[in-house]
Amino acid sequence: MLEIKDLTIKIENKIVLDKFNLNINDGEVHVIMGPNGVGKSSLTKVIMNDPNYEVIKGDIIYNGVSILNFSTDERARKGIFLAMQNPLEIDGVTNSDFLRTALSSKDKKNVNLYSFIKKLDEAKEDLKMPDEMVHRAVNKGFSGGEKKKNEILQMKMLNPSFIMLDEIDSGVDVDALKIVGDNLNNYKKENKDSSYLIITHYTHLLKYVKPDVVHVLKNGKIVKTGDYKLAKQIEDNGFNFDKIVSSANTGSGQSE
Amino acid sequence: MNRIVVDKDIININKDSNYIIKNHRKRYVFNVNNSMINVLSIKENQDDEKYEININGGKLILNNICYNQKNLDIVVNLNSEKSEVLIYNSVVTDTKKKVTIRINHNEKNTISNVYNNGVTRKDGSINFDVTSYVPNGVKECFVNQDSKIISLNDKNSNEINPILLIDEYDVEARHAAFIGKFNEQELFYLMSRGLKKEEAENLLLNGMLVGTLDVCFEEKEILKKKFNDEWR
Repeated sequence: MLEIKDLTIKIENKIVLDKFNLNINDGEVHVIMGPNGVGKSSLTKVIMNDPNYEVIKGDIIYNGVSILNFSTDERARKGIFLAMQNPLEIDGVTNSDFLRTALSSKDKKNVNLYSFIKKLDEAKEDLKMPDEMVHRAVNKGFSGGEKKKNEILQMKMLNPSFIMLDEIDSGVDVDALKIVGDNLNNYKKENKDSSYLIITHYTHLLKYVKPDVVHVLKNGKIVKTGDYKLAKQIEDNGFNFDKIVSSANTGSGQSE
Repeated sequence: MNRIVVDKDIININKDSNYIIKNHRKRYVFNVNNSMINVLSIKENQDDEKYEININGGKLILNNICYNQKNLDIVVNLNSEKSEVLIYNSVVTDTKKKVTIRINHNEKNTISNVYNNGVTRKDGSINFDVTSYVPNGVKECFVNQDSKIISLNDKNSNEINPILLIDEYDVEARHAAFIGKFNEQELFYLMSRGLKKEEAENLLLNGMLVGTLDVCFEEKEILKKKFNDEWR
């Protein structure tokens, strides 16, 4: 699905990722954890081609094709989706206008209004969002949790195949987190080939969406790779790697 | 929303109603007496226009959409307690355009909100001149001015003068002004959902010029269509 080769990126003369490598296969769920400011969000933004970031070296290959020369919208239309950490509020643009334009430019034809409304109603129902949000401005006046739900709603509408979730679980209460988790799970069941790159600080979301691989990112590089247990250990012990390594070596599962 | 077509220069209003301005005149006078009024005015390639709005109790909402109009001059007098005025100006221009708005808070406990949104293209430039005046002794007024110009050309001749002339301490007043390009992060957010840059810009323009107006849903759809088909 996605292959990142020796990627070095910078923002305002600061190198955030250095010779970064990552390979995500079809249908896999990868989790990236790490302390604040190590470049986790930068990775997702650069995959989405945020104009603030500059790729110095390396390559991003999506389904066998290098996407470095593609613009943000071309990448999105190819099926890459980024649920952002801080979804922006856009004044005056309604959710329905936004989604309708996005869908029609993805399908390269005007969307059928009836099927659009039906699909939107279903997605809204699944996420237990209020009816009036359709005609409200994008994220305007939404709470933190509602904004995150809105990102999942957009995901369900746009049907992407590679999904990046940047701290989708922060600012979300336990009930809303369950709804988000269930929706992700259902989406995954319906789209077996879809792959995920999840950035998180906690294991809450991972209880609903089981990860195949967990990476720990530090100083722009992956320093450790493991499975769900690694995420659990990090939650218990923090990013104190000596401790993690030693407890892994002694084969202990005390943390459980 | 059923609207009454304005067919004379001086309009005296005594009950809640909605108006639309179609045939344009040089000067309009609205006298509002204890009623709620919503006015929609769409102008295309018009000459200068002047509005005089006197509110003696009640509220007037003025939705102005203009495309390539020369000068617009609005004077509002808030003459009695709890009078309120709300002005939305949406301007698209390829030529030089000047909007002058003067709001006189003549009585205490009055409210004024002015929102100007402009887009300049080709040789266009916009000058928003907004003055809100609260004299000494007129207490508990609320004054708000908000002006924004998005420049789609490389001209640097846009100007916003958000003037608050306030001679009284017991007033809540704010003003905001912005001249520049579209917010890069907003564009990135929209484009990350598969919108082409042009579509994203169109959506933002529509949101700014039509989405902010206080008109009903059907009217918004008509205005958006007009904007996309004819004024883009």
